[in-house]
Amino acid sequence: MTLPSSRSPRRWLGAFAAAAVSAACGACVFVPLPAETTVVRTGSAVASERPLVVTVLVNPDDDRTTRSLGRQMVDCITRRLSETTPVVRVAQPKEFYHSLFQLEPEEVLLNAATVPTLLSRPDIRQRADDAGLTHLILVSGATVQQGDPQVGGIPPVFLLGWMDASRNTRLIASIIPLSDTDQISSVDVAAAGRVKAFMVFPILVAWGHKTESSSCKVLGDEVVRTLRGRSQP
Amino acid sequence: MTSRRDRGRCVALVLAVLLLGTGCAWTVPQPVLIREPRVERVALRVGVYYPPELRDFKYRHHFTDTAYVLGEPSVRLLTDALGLLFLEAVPSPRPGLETALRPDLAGVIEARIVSAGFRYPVLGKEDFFPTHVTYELTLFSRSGDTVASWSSTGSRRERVSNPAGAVGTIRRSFEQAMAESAWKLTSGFREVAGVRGWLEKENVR
Repeated sequence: MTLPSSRSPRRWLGAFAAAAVSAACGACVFVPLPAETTVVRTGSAVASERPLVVTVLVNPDDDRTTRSLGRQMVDCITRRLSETTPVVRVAQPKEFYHSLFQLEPEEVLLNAATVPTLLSRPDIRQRADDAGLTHLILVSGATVQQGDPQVGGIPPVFLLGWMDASRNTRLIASIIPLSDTDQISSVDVAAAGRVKAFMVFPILVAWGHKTESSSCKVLGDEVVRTLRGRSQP
Repeated sequence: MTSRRDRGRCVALVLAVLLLGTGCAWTVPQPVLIREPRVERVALRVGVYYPPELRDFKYRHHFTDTAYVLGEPSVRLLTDALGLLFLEAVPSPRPGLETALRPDLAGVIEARIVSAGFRYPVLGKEDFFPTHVTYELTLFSRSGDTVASWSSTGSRRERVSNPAGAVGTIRRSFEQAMAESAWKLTSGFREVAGVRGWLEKENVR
């Protein structure tokens, strides 16, 4: 038996999918706003006559950094550094591990306790010098969002929701010269903002401060500034 | 203060493990041996004994009845780690069976897992599964006398950004905790009470 076209399962499925997509995506609006950032720099700016070769890694010692935020921070810094070539060249992590340790990244334990010992070893320092590697940058960071979403209404006919949350991001980059691990500089960027949302089902409107991308961009700028030995841009 | 959002996130993490893992036995990726910072090699050959309790070790979480296979990866990891610490580490029978020992072996090391596990995040405060593995090594002389015994713990607290990846995070956390524990065991060998005297007796620095 063939169903009338208006009742065909495929048509119902299509209509349901279209409704779901429009409810889930089509009616959502998010307005990102730039966030205010503050920067604290410690240590001195790098002063070097020769080109710098740096590697950026997520600090394996810091459990608070999620994999996605870690990747984002590495991207922000490497992208910004690559604009400065040939003054600063970015060496990929594999190149760093192979040149310094002749090992794969997983075979080396880099953390606050082992970095000073490893990087002050004469053989490793010599390999860094031979490969032209000058700096290691370890990044870490976290975002904390606090606030409760509130939902009310008579589902599914009328559904109302809103949220007002604070959002704070703090990103840190430690710049370690491979020739002298005592001369560590650091850049600490903090961004604070709010995220607000209002929903009358199926329309959701939200706006908020993009604290992670704002602070990430500033972190990249500040790392470049420190590496180029400038206190101002 | 615990926000509703944080509580919801914790519940999502627990549910993810519950749904994805209940009744399953997960393998743990083979940990990679940490070679740097390198350990100072001991110029001796030893036998290594892995009791069945270690070879078959599975950590089973009571709440979700989910098992994580830690025994076999541990055997391979500890064999590599002890091979890096000593001139040679060869499979050996139970300590005390001197007649069955190769004549060039200075002693036998028995390995165990004394503690391993993970716990669920504290509601609203954590978004990671604190995970740990503790290995214990006991060094026996050729005649079977205990020379030294020491243990070390590796731990991991990797944050979970996506609840659907919770089981994968726990498996990875076990892998990294095992690698760290094995590195601590071998790197701290010379500081263990009783080892210095044994090395002197064997005429090794």
